[in-house]
Amino acid sequence: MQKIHSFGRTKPIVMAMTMAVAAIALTACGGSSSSKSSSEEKPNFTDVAKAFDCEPSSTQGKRVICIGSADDLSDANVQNSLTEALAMAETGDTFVLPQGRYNFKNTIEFNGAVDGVEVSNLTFRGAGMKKTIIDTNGASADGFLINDTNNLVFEDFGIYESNNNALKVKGSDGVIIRRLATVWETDFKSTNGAYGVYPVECKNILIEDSFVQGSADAGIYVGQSEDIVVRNNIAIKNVAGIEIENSKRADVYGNTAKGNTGGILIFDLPIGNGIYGAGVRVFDNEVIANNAPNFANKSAFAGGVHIVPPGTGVIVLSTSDVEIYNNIIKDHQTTSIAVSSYILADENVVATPKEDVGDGVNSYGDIHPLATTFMDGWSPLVRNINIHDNTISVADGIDNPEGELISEIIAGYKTLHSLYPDIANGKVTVPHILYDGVGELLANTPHPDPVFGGASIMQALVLGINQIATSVATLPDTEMFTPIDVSLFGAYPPEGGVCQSKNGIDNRTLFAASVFETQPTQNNFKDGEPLSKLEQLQSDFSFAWSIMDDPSGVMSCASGYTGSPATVTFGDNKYGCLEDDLENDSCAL
Amino acid sequence: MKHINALVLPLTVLLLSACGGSSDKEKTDTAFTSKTYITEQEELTCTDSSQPVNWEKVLEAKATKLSEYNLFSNTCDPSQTDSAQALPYDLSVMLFTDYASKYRFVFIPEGETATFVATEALEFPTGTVITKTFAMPADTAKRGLQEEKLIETRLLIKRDTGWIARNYVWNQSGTEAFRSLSGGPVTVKNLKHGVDKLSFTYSVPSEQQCLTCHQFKEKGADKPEFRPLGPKARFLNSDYDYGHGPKNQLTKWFEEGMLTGLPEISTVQKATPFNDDMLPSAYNGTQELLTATAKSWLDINCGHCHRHEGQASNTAFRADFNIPWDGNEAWHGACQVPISGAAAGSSKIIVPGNADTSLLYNRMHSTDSGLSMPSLGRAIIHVEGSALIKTWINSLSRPTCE
Repeated sequence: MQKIHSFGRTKPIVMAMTMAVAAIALTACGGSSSSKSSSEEKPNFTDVAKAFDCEPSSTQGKRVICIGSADDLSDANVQNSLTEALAMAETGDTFVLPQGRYNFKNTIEFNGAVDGVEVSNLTFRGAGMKKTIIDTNGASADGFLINDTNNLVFEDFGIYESNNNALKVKGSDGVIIRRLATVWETDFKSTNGAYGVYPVECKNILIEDSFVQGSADAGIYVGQSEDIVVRNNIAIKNVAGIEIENSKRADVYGNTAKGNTGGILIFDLPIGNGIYGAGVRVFDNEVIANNAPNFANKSAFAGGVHIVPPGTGVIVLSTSDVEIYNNIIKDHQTTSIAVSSYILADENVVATPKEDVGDGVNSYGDIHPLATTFMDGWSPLVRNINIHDNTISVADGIDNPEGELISEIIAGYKTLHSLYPDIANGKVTVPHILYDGVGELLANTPHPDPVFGGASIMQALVLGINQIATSVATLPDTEMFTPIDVSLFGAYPPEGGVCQSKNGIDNRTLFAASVFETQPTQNNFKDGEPLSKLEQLQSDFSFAWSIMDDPSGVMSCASGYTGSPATVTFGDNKYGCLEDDLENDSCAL
Repeated sequence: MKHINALVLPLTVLLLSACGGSSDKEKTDTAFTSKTYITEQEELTCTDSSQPVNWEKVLEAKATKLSEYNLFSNTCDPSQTDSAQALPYDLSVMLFTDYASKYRFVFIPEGETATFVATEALEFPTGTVITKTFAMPADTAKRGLQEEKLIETRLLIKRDTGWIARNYVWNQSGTEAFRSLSGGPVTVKNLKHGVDKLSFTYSVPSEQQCLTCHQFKEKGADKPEFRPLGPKARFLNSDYDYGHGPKNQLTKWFEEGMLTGLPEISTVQKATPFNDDMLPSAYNGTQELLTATAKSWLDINCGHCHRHEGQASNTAFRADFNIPWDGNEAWHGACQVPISGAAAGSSKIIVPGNADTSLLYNRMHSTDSGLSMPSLGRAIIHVEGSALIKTWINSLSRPTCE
């Protein structure tokens, strides 16, 4: 095997990140301390009388299929009736679900074709979100699972108590979910299914006027999709209220996220399937008291929802091109808005590439745990985040930060406050707007080893991976070597990181701060490792005044990123701020 | 035989109500009872059928009753056929389906043949019908239709436009099978398996669910293609006794004029056989044999979904037979973190040397809703398969997960 060009034997960059950024214990997470239970009244959905009220129609292309019948509304008959209707479905069918609560024992599944003939444009409609309830607890997996079917509408019914996802739609272009409820009626149980509303690998998704409660993952989750509008929904008591993940061109507006563990999540995760996202606007939402305990299933996936610290309003993880504006973000016990590179979730991002892999390479992951996702086009960094015009408040007595993910950050801030009680006289422990900053720092700091010609520390990392990867044989039928795009890891242009402006806090001081500075200084590296502001405090108390603040203007910009409105196209109709909501005040913001 | 107009057929025949809905007789001579959910309006008897296969009806695929196709020599016995166009077949390693027996036939129209494919399902001509009948024994040590209760007969029918699926569920008396769109539950009580008595609810799938497993979606393709899963060269490359001693199935198909393009048999892929009667010593003699057996089991039980072209293409567990274990451990899921379906105690998909912390083992060894795998097709645990996979994972010494 040819000799690999030496990296000059400088000390490998091992991110110990002791004080400020937690080494992630991937199994333990979430606080067990008391949650603020939301004062939301618990809607009573259990007593709904069964009733049949449907006129069938056999007009071709627009059939109306009545599910169940006037003289047989037994659970089994309704389930079978729907399953059979799907088995004989034709393009344009509407399936009308009767009023009542029905226990289904099998997933309702449809795969886009009947006898090989493509079927699209299907509508599933109940008598109302509180009137037609499909209880899918008897089905061993998802409640509804629809794949590869274009132009779907789900409206006016509820899906309850699913063992996995309530409504999963995969691979479909054109999905409208409106006035749909997905509910788990017991609060905070980790066996409460997975996602409530779950379109994945879809395009043109509209989710509106819906209600999601109790999911042990995300209530509304849109993943690996494009052209998305999520508006006017209510998400309560889920781990994540609303989550946009690895998706492009999404508008999230007019929603209420209340009493979840985390309110609204914008994540871009290293899933490894080449689908990554950017371009999300979050505006005019009410994000209130999301202080529920984290009851998600603990998984070893570093970006899983179990990492969400309870008491977080909006979280941006690793996603770029995000505009968060004109939201009311209120009463969060940990932090109101958190923005972080993926380094916070998984320190493997900055693991040293293994040089001496020899012939034992089984995948490029042997060189570096995230090599294949870097090659896939994923970046762990956040760029172009603009946070403005939000109304943030934390009532007295709420502040009580927790969360395994940021436990060391929290500990650092608590120490700071005990040493300098006057600093945060706004009475929050952790800044209202918290930015990790370390990703930007490593992208802005030239690697000290001249062999890299001034490339940043992050660039040096991926250059190293590229170099090792070129020297090993291409792996059989698994991954082709695609060189990592080094330009994704370069220095941030001015205002290319996080911007925050005009975020009001009602007669108090708004604290917006980064954990790490974003430009290298004489003092913020030691032995090749970056030091957070909190760590530097230990040797320089004069630092203290700046820790809850942003003295070097990390988050000051003359103008920040402005996103473009998202549009959903569904047949002849279009939805979104440029279309049916053109006159909507939210869209004028 | 009466032909019943589908439109007139009472809804109760097609609709499958939840278990317990219809009257049924319990077999008092054994401890085994199963309830199907079909009630019918007429007494049906077992009829010998000397008529040829109704190929036209098969292609139309509209029959309410299985007997309308004339596939089997007796309407009560889907394990026998007189048709010269048919051959029974077995797979050298089989998908686990709650210990049900499976009787498989391939029917190919006269003058047509299947075409050999090296690593994927064989190609079949238009008009082909593949039948697979599931029957539940009372004691897994005593098989054969006489000892078993018929549950369902699944058909795959090849049209010009591709494969379609039809499912026919048997009535209580085992005299006829009726088309079922929605499938449904079948209660099985006290199935004797060794010293155990198993009671569970077997699930007949709905017709839409067929495509969940039977799909092949080339990367970049718009939609998946419906494909048979069993009749692949590697599973047919084994012996079957057609009445004159064991004979290689592929060779037999060729000799019967039902298969063309078959290369020299020694060059054909061969799955490593596995069945429930094997003692561990039959497969754990060498590391190579153990891995080969595990790979074969994983392929037929998981590989149709857990591959690039299957339903679970975006997960980190892959079971494609054609990718060898050695050198591709991480690709299979060794030391890989699962994205979903995690359970306490299993941090990685395959932890070499430690099956108990391997998510692969835990999900196949579970009956918990939302966790158990495969997600379609089994209600109980495959004890022998789990033992195989456990032995295999524990035998692995590399890679070492950090």
